[in-house]
Amino acid sequence: MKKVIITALHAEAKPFIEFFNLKKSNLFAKIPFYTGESVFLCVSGIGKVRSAIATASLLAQEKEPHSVVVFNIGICGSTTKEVKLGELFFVNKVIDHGSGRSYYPDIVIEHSLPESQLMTFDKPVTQVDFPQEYKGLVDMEASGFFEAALTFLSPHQVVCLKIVSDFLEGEVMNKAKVSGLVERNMEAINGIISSYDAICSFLATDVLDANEHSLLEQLSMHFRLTFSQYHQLIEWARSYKIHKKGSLEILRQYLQYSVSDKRERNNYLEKLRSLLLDE
Amino acid sequence: MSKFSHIYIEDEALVYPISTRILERFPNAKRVQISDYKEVFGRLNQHFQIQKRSVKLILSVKKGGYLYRGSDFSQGFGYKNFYYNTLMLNCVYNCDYCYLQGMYPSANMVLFVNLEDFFEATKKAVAEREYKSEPLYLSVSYNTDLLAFESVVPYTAYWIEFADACDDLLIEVRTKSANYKAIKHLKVTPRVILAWTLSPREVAEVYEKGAPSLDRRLEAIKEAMEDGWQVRLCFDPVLRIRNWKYVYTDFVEEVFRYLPVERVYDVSLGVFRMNADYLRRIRRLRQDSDILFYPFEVRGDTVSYPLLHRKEMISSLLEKLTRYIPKERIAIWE
Repeated sequence: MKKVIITALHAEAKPFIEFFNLKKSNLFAKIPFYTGESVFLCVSGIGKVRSAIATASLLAQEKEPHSVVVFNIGICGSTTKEVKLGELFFVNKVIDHGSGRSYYPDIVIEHSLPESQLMTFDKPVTQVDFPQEYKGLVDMEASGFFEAALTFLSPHQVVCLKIVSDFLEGEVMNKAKVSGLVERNMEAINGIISSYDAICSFLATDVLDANEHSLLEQLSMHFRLTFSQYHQLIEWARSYKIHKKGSLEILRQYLQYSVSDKRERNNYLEKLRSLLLDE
Repeated sequence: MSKFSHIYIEDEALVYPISTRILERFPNAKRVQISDYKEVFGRLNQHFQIQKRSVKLILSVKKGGYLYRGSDFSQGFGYKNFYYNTLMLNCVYNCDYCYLQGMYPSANMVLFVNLEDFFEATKKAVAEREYKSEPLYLSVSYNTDLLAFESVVPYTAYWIEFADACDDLLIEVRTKSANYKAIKHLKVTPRVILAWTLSPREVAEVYEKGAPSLDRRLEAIKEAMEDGWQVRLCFDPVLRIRNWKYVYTDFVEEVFRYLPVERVYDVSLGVFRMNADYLRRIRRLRQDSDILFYPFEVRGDTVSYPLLHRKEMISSLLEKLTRYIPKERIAIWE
């Protein structure tokens, strides 16, 4: 299973690169990408469009999207001083300021972090720029990240963690300060990332293993099954394994028979169906 | 009742006393304000079984659709004015055979807090019902288990009190809950049928996750019967598990050994059936339950056991049941 971190800045990424011992990869020419054993990281650049491009680029290549969790992690502002500088939040609602659209992750793990809503703006904002009625966190990436991630993944696979770096008073952040904020929260962040292992293992539920899929594919090619017949065969095979708890090796003998026309093919398909489904 | 880690609440729902009560009941739940329940409940690609590990509660104000005409899948028990309502979406239990897994996009629970609007619409429907010689028959625990949620919000009690005061209304409260004590204090009324779904121990323990054991359900039923309630027993869905004939024979005998037969209002009997699209969706999400991967037969848009199996199961169960209950008081769904 894969855990993919998307940060906006290299200064946010640096502590993760060191902590998870990630190596630079040349997967994308213009998006810095780092790989590790099970953790991967991408530096998207600032802004929701860049965040969306980086997230979509990565997930579009993913062969097993059901076993991936993506994390948007970085610094953010806060409209209220009721929170502390350096405090880490689990974001439970993202509002895109431009469109008004909201995004909700499914928080299916137990955690002890404080939670907050977050509003994503198109440009840096100060206290005077945001709606007075809004109280919460502010950033420039999360809505783009969610829009892209939810195109490929389920809402429980999309996570947003933000660290409060300022109160929108126009402070200038240097790289060392940004990295320091992430470093100080690394233990808690790693705890959250690790919690998703259990979710991902729950997801790996296909009862048919690679060998069985390969056998079914061989049968499909051998009997020249149509696309829908092939998928029907897979469904019967699952039913056989789950319901009758049998081995699919009983199908291998059929590879010795050949078919010359549709009628023969359909006859063999019916034999397979009967073998797998009949009581 | 398990705790909720999160309660999503529509802005409009905040002012309702039921919302206040629930928020007080779960003070540690994280609150997330939403404008419409569908923003959360209707999201794409939600994983029903993963969400079942951490179910969220969504408080919403229902806008219209306070009661619906019953469908062919449901059981109107011969009542011509058959309706159901959806006070909640989803159920606290997680039965392997439950169609809700395929029907709803989410396992999160939606509770509609504007109960008065449901009552008003029901009164109007009763007054305007098509067949005046019959009461309006309303299933109030449809697509949910209302009694199982009674410790959070006493909707079953509210509906029983409402029905008692409403002429020409008969409500059915279907449940697997053993929480009879939550409504025990109420005045018994002939305008209510308490309907318990019963399954053999072998089924309840394996396939009805989170639901009370057969023993606890039987205890609750017996108490309700002794208090004078009209109790329906639902042997539905009957599952074709290994040794089903022996399992169900012992089960029926056990049920009627324990319960006073003369106090059974009626019985419902049905084999497993489901909308074909729902089953397809469920199979995509979970491959951990053998009963969902039975080689079913498709009839129109419904899947069920092959005809011969269905007939065999119904006739076997019917033969057992009619030893205790006259056939005319057994509603059958093949």
